[in-house]
Order: sequence, then structure tokens, then C-alpha cells
Amino acid sequence: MTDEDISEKEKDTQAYAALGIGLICIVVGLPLWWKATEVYRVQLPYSDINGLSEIPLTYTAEVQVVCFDDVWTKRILEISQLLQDNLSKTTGTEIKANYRLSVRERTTEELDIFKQKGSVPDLPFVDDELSKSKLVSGDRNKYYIFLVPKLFKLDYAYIGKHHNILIRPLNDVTELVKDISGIVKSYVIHEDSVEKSILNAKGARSLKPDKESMRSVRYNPGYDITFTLTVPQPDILDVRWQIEEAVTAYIESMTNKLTEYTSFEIKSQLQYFTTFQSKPKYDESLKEYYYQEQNLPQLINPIESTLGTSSSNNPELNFIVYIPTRDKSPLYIRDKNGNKVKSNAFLSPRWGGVMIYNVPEFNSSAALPYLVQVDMRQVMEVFVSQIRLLLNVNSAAQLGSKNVVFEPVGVAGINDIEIDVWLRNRCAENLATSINTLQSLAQLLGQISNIVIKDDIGSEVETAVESIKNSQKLLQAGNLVGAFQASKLAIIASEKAFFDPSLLELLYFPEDQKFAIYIPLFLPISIPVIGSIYKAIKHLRGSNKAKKD
Amino acid sequence: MAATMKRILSVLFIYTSTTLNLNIYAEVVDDFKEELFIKPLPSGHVYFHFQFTTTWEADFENPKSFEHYRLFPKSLGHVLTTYKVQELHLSQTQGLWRHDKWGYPVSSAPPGAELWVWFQPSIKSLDDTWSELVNAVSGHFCTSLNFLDSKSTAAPRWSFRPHGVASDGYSSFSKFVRYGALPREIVCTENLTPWKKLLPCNTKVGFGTLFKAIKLYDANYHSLGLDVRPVCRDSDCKRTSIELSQSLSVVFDPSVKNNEHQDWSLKKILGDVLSSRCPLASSSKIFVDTTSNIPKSIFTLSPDPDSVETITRGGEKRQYAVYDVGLQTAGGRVLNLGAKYDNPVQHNDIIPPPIYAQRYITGYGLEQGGVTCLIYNNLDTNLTVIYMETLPWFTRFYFKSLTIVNQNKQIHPYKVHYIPGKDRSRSYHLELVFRLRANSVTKISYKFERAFLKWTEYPPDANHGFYINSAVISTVLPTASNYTSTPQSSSSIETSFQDKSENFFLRIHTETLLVSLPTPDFSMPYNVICLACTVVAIAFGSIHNLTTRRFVKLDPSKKRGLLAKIKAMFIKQKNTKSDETSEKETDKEDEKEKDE
Repeated sequence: MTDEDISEKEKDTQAYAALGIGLICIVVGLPLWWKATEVYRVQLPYSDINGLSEIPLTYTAEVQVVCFDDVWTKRILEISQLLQDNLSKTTGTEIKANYRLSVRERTTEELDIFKQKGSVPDLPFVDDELSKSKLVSGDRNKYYIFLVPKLFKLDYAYIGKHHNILIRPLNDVTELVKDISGIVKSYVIHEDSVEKSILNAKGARSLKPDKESMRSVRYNPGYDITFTLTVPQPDILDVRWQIEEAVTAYIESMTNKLTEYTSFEIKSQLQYFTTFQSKPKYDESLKEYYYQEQNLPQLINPIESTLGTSSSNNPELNFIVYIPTRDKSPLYIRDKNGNKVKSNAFLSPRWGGVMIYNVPEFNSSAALPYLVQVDMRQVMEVFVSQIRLLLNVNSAAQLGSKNVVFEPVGVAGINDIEIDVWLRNRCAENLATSINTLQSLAQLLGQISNIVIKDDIGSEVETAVESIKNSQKLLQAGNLVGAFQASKLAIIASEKAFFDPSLLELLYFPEDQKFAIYIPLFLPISIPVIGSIYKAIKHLRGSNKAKKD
Repeated sequence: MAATMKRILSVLFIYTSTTLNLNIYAEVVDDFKEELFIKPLPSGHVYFHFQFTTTWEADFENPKSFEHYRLFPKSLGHVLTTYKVQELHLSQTQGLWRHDKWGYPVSSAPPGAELWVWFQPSIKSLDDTWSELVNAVSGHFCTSLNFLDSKSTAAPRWSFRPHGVASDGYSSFSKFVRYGALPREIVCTENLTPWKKLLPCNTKVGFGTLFKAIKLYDANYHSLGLDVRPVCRDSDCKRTSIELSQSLSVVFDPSVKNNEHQDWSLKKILGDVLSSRCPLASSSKIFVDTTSNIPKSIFTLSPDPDSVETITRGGEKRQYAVYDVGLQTAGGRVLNLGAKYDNPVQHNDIIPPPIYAQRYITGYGLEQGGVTCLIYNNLDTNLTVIYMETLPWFTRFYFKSLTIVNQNKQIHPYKVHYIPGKDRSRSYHLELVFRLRANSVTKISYKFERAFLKWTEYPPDANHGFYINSAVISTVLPTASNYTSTPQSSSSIETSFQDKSENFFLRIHTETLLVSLPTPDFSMPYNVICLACTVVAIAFGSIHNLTTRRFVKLDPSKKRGLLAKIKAMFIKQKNTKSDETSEKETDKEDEKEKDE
């Protein structure tokens, strides 16, 4: 072996060694570095999340038609056929309504109820009695339509407190079916409002702003309701209110019905020496002060700062009774046309309501402070309706129609059909919101690779996805309460995942700082390695050529 | 808005006529008192103590009674019920109360913020609730109380017993109490504003109108207090009420601006006069301590007081001038209460109070340190005290080094309660019960070791140092000399005039301490990264060279490459310019080798 051969062999060894080291650096070093600097990210069900919005939403409601007259009982099949056709014509694009229809003959018990009060039935009585009868169950999402016998003189449709609807007797089948489906769709189920709730939750901007959704608070598992009596001059007026009794009498009857779905914490307080900052206008002729409708928003801020903070995370609804100061009373609210607002109250969207309560005139020589009792009925009437608006209880009565008459809600505060509509709308809204939240979370996590995803976020997301699917299934099956509860779980879990503080931890660790840290290590190592690999390859190529030669 | 309201109203509401019986009353029963206690101090300072006491006939055990509020603030009530609080004591203080010169304050508070809470026995997870509570309270009062985590919280066994009504079985366990203090906390207007908001009359009328932040924070000492506790509803004490006591203490030094005269007035000191009383208060009074006018009058008050009360408390005779704000401000008059002194302040020796303390850091260097506390007992009798220390985990306390010395004699404490700290999770907590001899000075001293912190654990401005909480000394005095606190039964100042008891519970806080810990240069981590990487790179480079190359001697006669030729030319040029050195020779050789 010559010297040249030896050096040639040596050069080969060198080249292989250089390649070997380079290989180790790439095969072991790089993955090790990659693994060591990786942020912890739980695998999320991304495809499931994206698929959620693809699933078409449907809800099912049960409708039972009860025929009284022989004319109809003979044509049960025909009615059922026609009505099914009519009801299945839905206009919704986001969500589809599905009706489980049955038509049956009346029972004698039901007929007796009608007959009890003669030919002009006492409708509330009939409504109450019917819901007690055997074949009528009090289940949610199940509606009974009674085709009232002809001998009763009812020339409008009547929607009761419970799930019963009385339809006036008609002669023509098509007209009757049209009447029924119209009432079911727009006064019982509120197909439009379900559609609207979804669109609002999705944040469709093309839609013109919808008053109801802008006014009402979003669904939350709990709300804090605070009643505040504002007394600017306790030295002149000793104002008392029987808030405890009033809450029991007027508010709790309503909140107790909803307590299964959302909790309410009701508190009250008195605030002294707090006044509206802006000055009211004075009407010389009537000797009264007034605020115009457009000035009302300015009144709230100075009062709000004194209301005190709440230590819960629930949205707070504030209701304020304001007693005007002596020198500025009586004080009224006037609308755009200059007419006094009858309730003397106004509502602030998503915040609460304010009512101006004028105390009666009293003799100026009376001993001070003058004792005043607030008429709680007057106050609570206003506040109950405001609470309904803020919670977005869709009242069918708002739509108004000559041919449909509603039983007034009265002390109950909310009736069964309204609760159903509320549940359906909130369920649809919750589903749309939580799907939206999950999708934006998934998008965010996909975009920013720095974010750490902890196990609990992963499990929250999974719970949310499961609950959404479950809720969709139950909604389709017609189990309204179950679907609502599942959607509640979904919204809680998805919000919790989205607002988890751990997502923000590493968010602000910029890329350039990483470079600054790695360069002192990578640069001096990679230059000799790359250089020698380059050389080795060059050498090996050269030696191959030489061999060929 | 209003228009829609009207329409809906008319449609919806047809109420059954009378659901409410207007004759049944379920009134909220509560009471509010505002008081101002003024005490001219012998050092030339003047002590103002505002006391607002709200009592409410509500029951802690019945959360239903916490739904409808009148004088009691709703936001605070919500905190109490949500976190099942039995007693809550919060103080926020700027400055140090000088016991040796000023006597005792109405309520003692350490510099910074201090919070101690007794929870209800029905509570489930106390530590979680405490961490939620401190967050809620810190949000309410704009203090950094949310930093009171397990590292700075203690459960004192003897020093902080329930202040209000409590059963023996409950109060004898320290299970339900949590104590935390933030000595570094700075108290300012943002703490005063939420505190003022809790007053029923706010700052619109009454004493609240005197709270001008610019004057209040220009004082030698300033302390905001808030105490909630259950008290007896009547003398039988079968039922309890809730008492909320809000206090604001300020010490001013008027002699600085007044040509050495201690003259003071509301207008001069607080920037305003009183023009009204809070109409919601059942009593609105000012008390001026005029005891120093006996036997020889040294100052005159204007206007004249409505009455002068002479009382004896704990064997000490005192005189108070009483002003009823309602009477003084009737008919649109204003009250500018003030005092005029005949002579300038005499800076004589001041007779110190029966017991006071002094505490300081000892030792030098950044490794070891020590704390010494001197407790002075000026009484003619022995006195048993409870001494409490809470030390942060990074000052590692040596229990063995603890010594209590009195008149060169070692004292053995009757009882010791010691919970050692744990790094990064628990603070050191020490409580000692021992006796102070009559007319003596007792010295407590111990040593600690300073720990190294991780670089992320240092606060901003780490070189400022780290604070150690005040030590707390609790005792029961046999005399009321210098004592101004209110009796156990009520927080109202006026009730202290009828106090006939012979024992007076006293709690004093010592100075907070500032220690410096070894503090690194904070650019260090990056330097370390750079240095370590460079070392790795050098090592790697040479090892890489050794493993992939072989060094052989070059035969100079061999043909050279183009690059080597150019290099050789340069070297030749250099060689001609200067003498050849051995160094350059080696350089050349290196280069030759590299060419291989």
C-alpha cells in the first residue's frame, strides 16, 4: 500500500466521519431540540368542531288536535293529512321545525268541561279544567288544539295559560287547517323567533339590528337582580318600601318557574343622596318637570357608580326606583311627541330599568322627614315587564292580532307556552353561541402555535362538543328540557375553555427572542458541521469519479 | 324604549287587586352612628379618629336576612354571605403609630394592609374560600390583598381571637381564622374612595364632607379600618346583630406650620368646616379629649362645647368636650371646631404608655440576619403578653436561636406555638406567651438565614428590599392609662365613657422590617445562555475537528494550491516588513495544516 493509498483511505474515513456526525446531528439533535422546546398541546377534536355547524338543526314539537263536532270527527284523516302538509312547510334556513301530529276525538270528560258553563264558555276556567283532564298531560313542548264545538259562540282563537289552544269553529277544512297551522307557527312555537335567535347568536351582521336581542341579556346560568330605591333627600322624605313582600308576591312567582333553567339572586338596597345629574326641563303651564326620551341615557351613569359592585360573575340586572327631589317634582318622562309616558319608567338595554316615582304632595308644615310608603304594586308591574324584556321572554301578545286572544299573564309573570318558547329560543341560541365559541377557539389555537393547551381545556372542549351533539339530538327528538339543559352545559364548558387564563401564558413570547437565545448555540455548531458535510460530499464525489476513471 | 314599555304594560298586566297587605311591616332594623374623636397629643400632634358604626339586626346564620339592605352596604354584605364570613377585620395604613409618644390608638394597625377573618363553621374548603375572599376584598378596596396566598397567610392560635360574639367551642380553635398582612402596601386615595362609598351618607353630608384626600394624605399617620363582627342585640345576648365599624384615623402635626403652636381647627387641618350632620345617623357627635386641661388650662376650644363629660375609666380620670353636630349646625350655621394654645409646644419628656415595643434588624451581610424586639413594661406589675411573628419563607427562621431575656435573665415562655415555614409554600409563624416583669425591658431576639430566590420570584425593584410583617403584641392591661379603644360590646366611642371594666384588651403592632436579599443582576440569564452556548460551541468545534480530521505533517516540497500560494505571498510580504516571530511561524503552520 502506498502513502497515497493510505492518505486516500484516510480521507474517505474523514468524509464518512463528517457525514456520520452530520447525520447524528440531524437525526438525534434536531428532533431532541424540537421535542424539548415544544409547548404542551392537547389534541382537540378539530374536525368534530368544524362539523358541528354542518349538522342541520331541527326541533320537534308535539301537536294534538282534539275534535268535538261530528263534522270533524268524520274527517279526522283528512284534517291530519292536510295539517301535516301545512305544518311541514317551514321557511327557516338555520333551523327546521318538525311537528309530531295526532288528531283524535274528544272525550266525554272534555265535552263536559265545555258544557259546564253554558254556551258562552268561561275561557280561563275551561283552560284550567282541560289541563287537569286525563288525556291532557302538562308536558313541555306538547300542545293541545281544541276545535271548539259549534254551539259555543267563540269567534276568535284563544290561547290559554297552559298548553291549550281553543280554535273557533269554522266550516271549511282548508280554512280551518290554515288557521291552525298559522296559530301554531306564529303564536305557539314562534318559528321566526327561533330562527332569529340563531342568527343573532351567530352575529350575522347583514341582518338589521334586532330590537329584542339588543335589549335582552345573553343567556347565563344565573342572574343577579338588584332593586334599588334612590332617596336623594332622606332629611325631607322618609321613604319606605316593602320590598321583601313585593319580591315574594310579584317576582318570585316568575323566577321560581325559571329556576330549573337559570338561577336568580334577588337583592335590594337603599341609596341616599344620589341624584340625577342632568337637569330636567320645566313645563310652566303644567307646573311639572320632565325629561325627554332622548335625554334618558345620560341619567344612568351617575347613579350606576353608586350602586356598588357585586362579587358574583353573573350579569346584574338593576332596577331603580328614583324619588325626585322636592324642588324638581313632580318629574315625568315624555316621549318624542311630548306625551307623558304612562309608566314613568324607562328601560336601559342589557342593564335594567329606572322608574321615577313621584311622591304625593304633602303639607309643607308637616313634620320632617315626611313618611312615604312606596306603592309596590305600581313599581313591580313595571319591573316585571322589564325583567321579561331583559330576559327576552317572547310574548305572543306583542304580535297582536284581532283573531287571537291571549289569557293575560297576571301574577304568574310567565305562562307555560312562553316558557317553552323561551327554552327553545335559548337552546337554539346557546347551541349557536357555543358552536361559534368552539370554532373561534379552534381557529385561534390553529393560528397561534405558541399557545399551551392544557388537559382541562381539552376536556372542557370535549364536554362542550358532546353536549352540543346531545342537545341537537334531544331537540330533534322533541325533548325540549333535556336539549336545553345540554345546551346549558355546552355553553358553560365552551365559555370556560375559551376564557381560560392559561391560554394567555406564553402568548407574548415573541419569535425574535427565541432566535436570540438559539443563535449562540446553533450558529457555532452548524457552521463546522455543514462545512464538513459539504466537503465530505465533495470528496466522495471526487473519489467516485476517480474510480470510474 | 319608553314607548314600547307602555304598550307592553297595557297588554300584560292585569293584577289581582291586593296581593299585598300594606299593614304588615317587615322593616329592616338598623342604626348608624357617626362620631369624631379628637385628641391633642403631648408631642404636638393632633389625633383625629372618625368612627362610623352601623348595626343591623341580621343574622349571619340566616343568609335570607342578607337580601334587603338599608344602611348596611350591599356590596359588603354580598361578600360576607358568599364567603361565609363570621368576622372580618381590614386595616389599610400609611405611616407608623408611635406608641411611645402618642399613646394608644383607638384601633391598632400595622403599616400597610392587614386582613384577618373568622369564617363560619359551616364552611367547606377554608383555604379556597380564603383565596376567593382576598380577591373579592382586594377588588372592593383596591388593595393588593390578592397577594395574600398560602405563602403569606397564617392561622394565629392566640393573638387573633374573635372580637365579636362567639361560642367558646368555636373560638378556641384556630381552624377558622386566617391572618395576612402586606407591609409593603401603599395606601392612598384609591383606597379611600371605595371605603367612603360604604357610608350611608357617602361624602354628601355629615363627617364624610371632611374627607379631602389632599389633606388626609398629608398627615403623619393615616389609617383606614373596616371591621365586621356579630354583637349582642340586647343585654340578654340571645340573638346577635351585625356591626360594621368603619374608622379613619389621622395624626397631624399642626405645630410645623403654626409657629410651634399646636393650634388646630377643622378648617385648617381637614380643609373644610362641618355644615351638616348625616340625617340617617341616630347620633352625630364630636368628642375632644380635654384631659390635658386639668388642672391648668393649656388650650381653649371654640366654639364652646354642648357639654363637658368627666369620666373615670380604669382608674384614670378623663375629661371630654362633647359637640352635638345636629345642634351646632342647626339653622344653617357651620361648625369650625378649633383649639387655641397659649404657649408653644414644649418638647419635654413624654410619659410613655404602660407597654410599648421597638423592633429592628440586626446582623450584617447577605447570608445571615437577626431580629430583635424590645418590649417595655412601665407598669408596677408583671404582665403576660402574647407575641406573634410571621416571617416570609425566604427569611429562614432558626427556632433554636430564639432567646427572651429580661434583666439579663433568660425567660422561658409559658406556651409556644410554632409552625415552621416551607420554601415557596408556607410562612414561618411563631406565637409566644410569656411574662414581662414590672418596670423592665424584655428583649426577644432570633436569627434567620436569607434564602436565594429564583429569578422569576423577585418583585420589581428587587434592590429595594423585602418587608417583614409587624410583630403583634396582645395583652390585657390592668389600667386604662393612654387607652382609647372602645369596649368589647360596641365600637361606638360614646360607649367607652360608660365602660366600667377593669381589664383592657390591648393589641399593638411593631415596626415592619426591611431586609435585603441577595439580588442577582437580571440580565444574567441571557448572559448565562450566551456563555454556556459559547463553551459548548468551542468544545463541539474542537471535538468535531478531532473526529473528522487527521493532522499530518505537510511536506513543504509538495505542490501548492492557488489559495495557499496567495497566502504564502502575503506572509512573505509581512516577513519582509517586520522581523519574523515564532508566533507567526506557528500561524503559518496552522494555515498549512488547514489547507490539508
